[in-house]
Amino acid sequence: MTTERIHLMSASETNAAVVNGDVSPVEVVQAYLDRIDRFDSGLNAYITVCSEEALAAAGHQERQLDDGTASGPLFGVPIAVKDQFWTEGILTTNGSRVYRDFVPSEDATVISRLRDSGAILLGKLNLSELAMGGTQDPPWGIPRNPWDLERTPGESSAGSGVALSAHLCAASVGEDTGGSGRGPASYCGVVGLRPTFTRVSRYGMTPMCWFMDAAAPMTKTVRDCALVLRAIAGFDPKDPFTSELPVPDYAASLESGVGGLRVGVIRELQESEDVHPEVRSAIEASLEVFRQLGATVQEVSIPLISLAGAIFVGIADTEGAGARDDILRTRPGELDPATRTRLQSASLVPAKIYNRAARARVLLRRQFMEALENVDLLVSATAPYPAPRHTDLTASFQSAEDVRARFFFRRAYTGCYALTALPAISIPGGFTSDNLPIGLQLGARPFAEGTILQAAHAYEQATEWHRRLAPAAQE
Amino acid sequence: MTTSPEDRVRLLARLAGIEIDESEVPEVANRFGSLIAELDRLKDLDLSGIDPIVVFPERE
Repeated sequence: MTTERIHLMSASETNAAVVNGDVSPVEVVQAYLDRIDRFDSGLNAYITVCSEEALAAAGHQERQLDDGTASGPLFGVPIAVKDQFWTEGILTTNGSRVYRDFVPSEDATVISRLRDSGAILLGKLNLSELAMGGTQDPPWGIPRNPWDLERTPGESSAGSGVALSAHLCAASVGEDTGGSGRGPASYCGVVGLRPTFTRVSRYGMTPMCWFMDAAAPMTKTVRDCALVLRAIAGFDPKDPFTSELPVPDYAASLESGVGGLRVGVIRELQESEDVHPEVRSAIEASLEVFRQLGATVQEVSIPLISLAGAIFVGIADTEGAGARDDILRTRPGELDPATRTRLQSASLVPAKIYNRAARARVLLRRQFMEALENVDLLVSATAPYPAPRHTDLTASFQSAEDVRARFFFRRAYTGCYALTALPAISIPGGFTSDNLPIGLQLGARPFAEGTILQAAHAYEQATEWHRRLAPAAQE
Repeated sequence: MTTSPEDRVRLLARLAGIEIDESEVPEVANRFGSLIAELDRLKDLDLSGIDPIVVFPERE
């Protein structure tokens, strides 16, 4: 194998190539470091590149291969993670000047499990400040979308989307509070999964919203997503909310297809007049793919979903303001202006209004569960439009109506799964006429990640979207 | 006499013990006003008998 093609391999292909001796772990790590060195100055995916640590880990793995002790489904796979996960002895900034000197004394559970699975930590990835979104002046540079450098890669796991799309890592773990993993996956043309809320430990993942934060595998392929999810999922005594349900071998059932599965397209999201017409068409085309693969397709209605953006922000921002209260009171000047004003406004929300949102969340969950009695999968776009321009995203709000249009509307698409604690994935589902990725979102019942991955894999194998290369990722 | 959005934010911030720079009051007022207006749309929902749940049970 020529080292020039290493970066184009998926994580599972990388693992196989390393284990089979086609390429060495050091060659793999060096190939990615070379690409980071060459491309990242224009993309700003990374905050910290762990060059020495990654090469040392790769060297250790070469010795393991020599003495026959190599093991783990991610053995030899360079992974970069959102800089929201604690990493022992390695700077963890949370994308904020407030944390510019924070070096954790231990790993997040997600990180230790990735290491146990054989993954090599390649670096820490850029994100919106405090995993919130809308940062106007990111301390470590504006993450650029490899499909169009003037457009956002999405928020808040921006660096994960960029790094995967530009092939600057083999796989990633982001974080998804209300779409922070699936959104960047959609805008960057990669895979992003929000697992069932209690499926993956949150220990060592700096909180944005206590009861909706979820570690999010982000990958080049659905198979990689299955591997990463299995590696990080499962009960963790350090996170009392994690489920004790056994973790399936998701990759083992990937080839089961969608024959007989019932697919429901969410009417309120598909027919909204604000959906970009090319996005709507792409979702319609995806339904036809599912039909041809043997699924039955029907329309479902979730009436409250149109208010999901408001419910989500009412809960997430209010909890976020609570989680950041110390910073807001003692170090507000170190926050980005957008973060500061967002947290300040959320701090003023009366308790009775927060409680109303919390109760509406339960009603939304009921409507989702009722819909899922009749279908196995819910389908929609991940976002109602392709990646906006940076300037559209970070401009100050001019009026309350401006806030509604730019802030609440799109959050209904992904926020609804966060509110209902249900799993959902974004996979490449098409492109606009000007070559911007469109994300296809699939959701399902609690702990039905296996069904989601199985359907996503079938769709992926039937289409070619995931094979396109972003312009900024090409030589 | 009606209270301006900015004055409402100033008052609430004072009660909450939050310091807001005067230059950012209009931005906070826009955000807060929009948030409250959006959440106001939930007023018509029938939420009787529904209690908030932080973490949903594994089996329902």
